[in-house]
Amino acid sequence: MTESAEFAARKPDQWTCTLSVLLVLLWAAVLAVLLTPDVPNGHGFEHSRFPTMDQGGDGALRHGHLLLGGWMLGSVLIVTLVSLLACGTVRRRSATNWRAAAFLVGALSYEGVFGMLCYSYRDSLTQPHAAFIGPFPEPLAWLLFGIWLVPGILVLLYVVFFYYWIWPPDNALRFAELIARSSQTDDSHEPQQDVP
Amino acid sequence: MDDHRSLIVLVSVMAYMAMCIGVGIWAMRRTKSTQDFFMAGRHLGIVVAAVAVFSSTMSGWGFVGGPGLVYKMGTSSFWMIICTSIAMSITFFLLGKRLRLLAELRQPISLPDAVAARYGSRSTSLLTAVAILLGVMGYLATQILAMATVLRGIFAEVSWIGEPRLDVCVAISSAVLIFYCVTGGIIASVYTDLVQGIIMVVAAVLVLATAILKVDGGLAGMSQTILADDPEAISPWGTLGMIGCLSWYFIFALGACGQPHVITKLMMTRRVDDARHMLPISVVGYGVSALLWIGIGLAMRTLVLQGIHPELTNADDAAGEFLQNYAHPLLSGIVFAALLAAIMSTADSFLNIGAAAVVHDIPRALRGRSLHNELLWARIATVLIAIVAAVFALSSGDLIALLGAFGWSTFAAAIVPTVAIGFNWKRATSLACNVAIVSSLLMNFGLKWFDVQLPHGFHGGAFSLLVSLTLFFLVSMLSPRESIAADIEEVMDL
Repeated sequence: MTESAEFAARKPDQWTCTLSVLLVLLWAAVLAVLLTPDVPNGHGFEHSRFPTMDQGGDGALRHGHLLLGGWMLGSVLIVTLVSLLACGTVRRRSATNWRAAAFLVGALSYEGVFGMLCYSYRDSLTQPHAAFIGPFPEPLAWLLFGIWLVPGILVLLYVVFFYYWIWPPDNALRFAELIARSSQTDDSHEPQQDVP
Repeated sequence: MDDHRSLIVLVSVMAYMAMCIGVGIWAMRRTKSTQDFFMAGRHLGIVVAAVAVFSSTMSGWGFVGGPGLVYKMGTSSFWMIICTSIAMSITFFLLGKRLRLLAELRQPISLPDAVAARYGSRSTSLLTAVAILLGVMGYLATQILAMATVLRGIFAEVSWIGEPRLDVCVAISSAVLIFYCVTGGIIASVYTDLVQGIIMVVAAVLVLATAILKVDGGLAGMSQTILADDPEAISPWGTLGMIGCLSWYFIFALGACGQPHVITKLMMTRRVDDARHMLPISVVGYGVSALLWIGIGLAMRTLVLQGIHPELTNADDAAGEFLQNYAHPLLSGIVFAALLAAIMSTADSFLNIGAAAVVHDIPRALRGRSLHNELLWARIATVLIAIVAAVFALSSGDLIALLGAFGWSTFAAAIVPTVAIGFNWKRATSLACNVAIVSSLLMNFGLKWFDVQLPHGFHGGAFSLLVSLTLFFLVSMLSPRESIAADIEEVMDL
């Protein structure tokens, strides 16, 4: 048995644990926001001069009571997405600490950017003059240059550590053996009728 | 449009259609089996597969509906774009290797085939195929209608042609689509996707540059104008609001790994290692082509607010109005070709997986064996599905919009648990998959049919995905543990 298979066999329930925790967190965050009272026109209404456009209205009025719940929901979503990515990698004892550290850095960067987005938006609700980063108001800049680009770290992890976390050479060998065995046995592999 | 401009647009679109037909003829010689027709013989190169992944994800709706949403709602729809970097990462981390290994081991020719191999259950395979077919019919009908509408608009601007009837345009556009899909199957589809993807990227960059040049002050000028009118419209949440945007983020980020027309392509590459290079290419390709969505949307909202352009009669006219009035005629031609390319690159993928469901997955699930001469039946099914979708597009009014809108969410809620989670989690059971698929169909159709609005603009599809994931998890944990075929279990360990 190879190192990754042995390690996987000893800790078989990573997915079960992760899914149960994530689902509890997701339901808590979703119910918390859904049970918060909605304000009239809280998600847009017809523009006063151009009926084919919508407008948002008073940001403090519609988001003031939702910011904390919304931040929690966004943070849980980020944890969910990054955790699923981490679960999609091969577990091996020798690489676990590095792997966990790398995903932690990715998740914290992502959470940090989302936190800055929420923080700068909250500030923008009370300040008369909007601060700009480049051509965009600061909160939108955090969205476009932060939330859009930060997952690039995770793409980079996939590319750089592909042969360590996704497709290690020992797995490639095991798969080649599996294919060789499979070609010797001539199974049709027809799916079974469901057993009651 | 003046005649000179409209003629350039017409010639560009005709040249593009001729290219599609040429690719179809070329691909016909390479299509000798159902493996070739549905899986491209698992011989796709890295760039071809990566571009096919992102161009199938960016449908015509992204090129027309996207700018329309920015015009109407400000920045809310940016969440649909920015989530793609994490969405594609999830798709590749969870399925890039897994589906490719399964494809080599069991040689499935469709996603329901792979589902049958994983769960050893005909009912799960059948339900997956039915969910795919329902989603495909709705999506395909909307894509065909969009193609015909674009084509009619182009013809109408050419004085010596005049405005043709919509059914004529449906016939012309469907004929081109059917021709290359029937002759070349998925091989023609992915190679046209390659050209389509390149056109989309080039067009998006040029359109963004044009938008920046046409609005006084460029992007900063757009921001200032929108900010002065309604600060919320240029905030991170747009007019929809925070919770609505986050629910879009959830359904589009996690739902991407449940889109069958996209993830099927992960089974078509030459080597497992190809996924390593495909991910960054797909992420960058989609990101660049989405610049058109942002550029036109912000520019049109600004130009209308500044009084430079009259108010649009319909938000979806944003892209067309911008191209007609502000873009160079040659750029208009490229973008209109790109628009058809975006629509067709999605439609051809749907046509292919729909044909697989009809001639392969459903008969196999019901009868336990494939049809004789499956390749011939696949070609016949491709024609029939396109014709039914075209008739459906012309005759069923609101029902198309209903099915088209429920497509993404249904695929997400049905296939994310069954495939993205279930192909990695050994405890998942076929009963749990069946419950998740049926609940996703009922919830998504019910929410649309009864027009249920959740508080704070929370997306119904996101709620449905959360419910189906929860049911999938609970039923898996509560139902007896199922045995997995030894070879599949070994693949799941890798």
